[in-house]
Amino acid sequence: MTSHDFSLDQPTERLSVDGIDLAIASRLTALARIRDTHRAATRAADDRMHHARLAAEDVRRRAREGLERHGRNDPQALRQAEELEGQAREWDKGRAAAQAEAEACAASWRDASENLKTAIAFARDASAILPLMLREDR
Amino acid sequence: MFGRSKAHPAAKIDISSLLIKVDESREQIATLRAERQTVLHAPRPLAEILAALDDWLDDAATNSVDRLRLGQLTRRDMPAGIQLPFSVDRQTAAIDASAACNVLLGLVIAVARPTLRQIIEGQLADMVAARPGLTDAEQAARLAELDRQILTTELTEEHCIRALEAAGVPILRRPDAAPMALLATDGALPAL
Repeated sequence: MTSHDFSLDQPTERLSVDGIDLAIASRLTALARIRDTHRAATRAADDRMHHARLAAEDVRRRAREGLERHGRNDPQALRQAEELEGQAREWDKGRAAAQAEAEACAASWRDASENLKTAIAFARDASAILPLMLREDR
Repeated sequence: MFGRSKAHPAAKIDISSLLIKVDESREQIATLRAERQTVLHAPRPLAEILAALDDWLDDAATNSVDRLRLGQLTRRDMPAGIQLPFSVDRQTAAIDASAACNVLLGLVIAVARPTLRQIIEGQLADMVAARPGLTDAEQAARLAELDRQILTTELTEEHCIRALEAAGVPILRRPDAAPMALLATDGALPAL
């Protein structure tokens, strides 16, 4: 029975470059985790922004339908429309806040991605074997 | 992964001090990088510039006299004067005077070299007075030293960031952080 030597696929744990010890596998994994955290935060903020936009649209639609159903001169319909518009404006604020958060998270994600990309390129140049999950990253 | 380094004894983490140290490190890195750019673009020393200029002046004067083809003056069937080398583009009929200009410049150098050199040397001395020149060896040594200082500061910055992360205070790394700092083992980072 042939035994397969998979040692060539084992990620490089330690490397020394110019007298500095590098923890290739564990540090690349840590940097990837940081990148993924920022990516998840960006997507969560994007989702909140999207949800807030849909909610504002829905509330405004209900306001329009109420006015169309009861007439624009109906005091109760007008009151309800104003109340719904107030809710819509709250959703607009939420959307704006989520958008600002998404932009900040996206910037963090970009920076973290750049850190990981630089580290991977360095590790490759030093002939290190990357952790399996990062071998397609460039 | 972000636990206390085995190389450094456990210490109470002062968040505020670490944050200040990160900022100080970043300022230091920016300063060192600016100095590196200055060294990279430093002029050569005046003595080197003048030595290279002297070689060029020698060649320019010699080549210009060679281009005059003075041997033709000894022939009975050739005109007695000196002719500058002009050429004509066969397709466009445009006259190319560049060779002639170079010969003229070479003759000026041959005739007035000391005066010309003095003028050039004066101009160059004024230019390099504000920016000290470096020989190639000096520049290489200075750049290597600056690179060492930049890396040491980046490693310190990285140590602070990891300590903050371990304390639950995530700090964004600079997108241009050195890969050696990003990948260094905890033990390779300078003590804080």
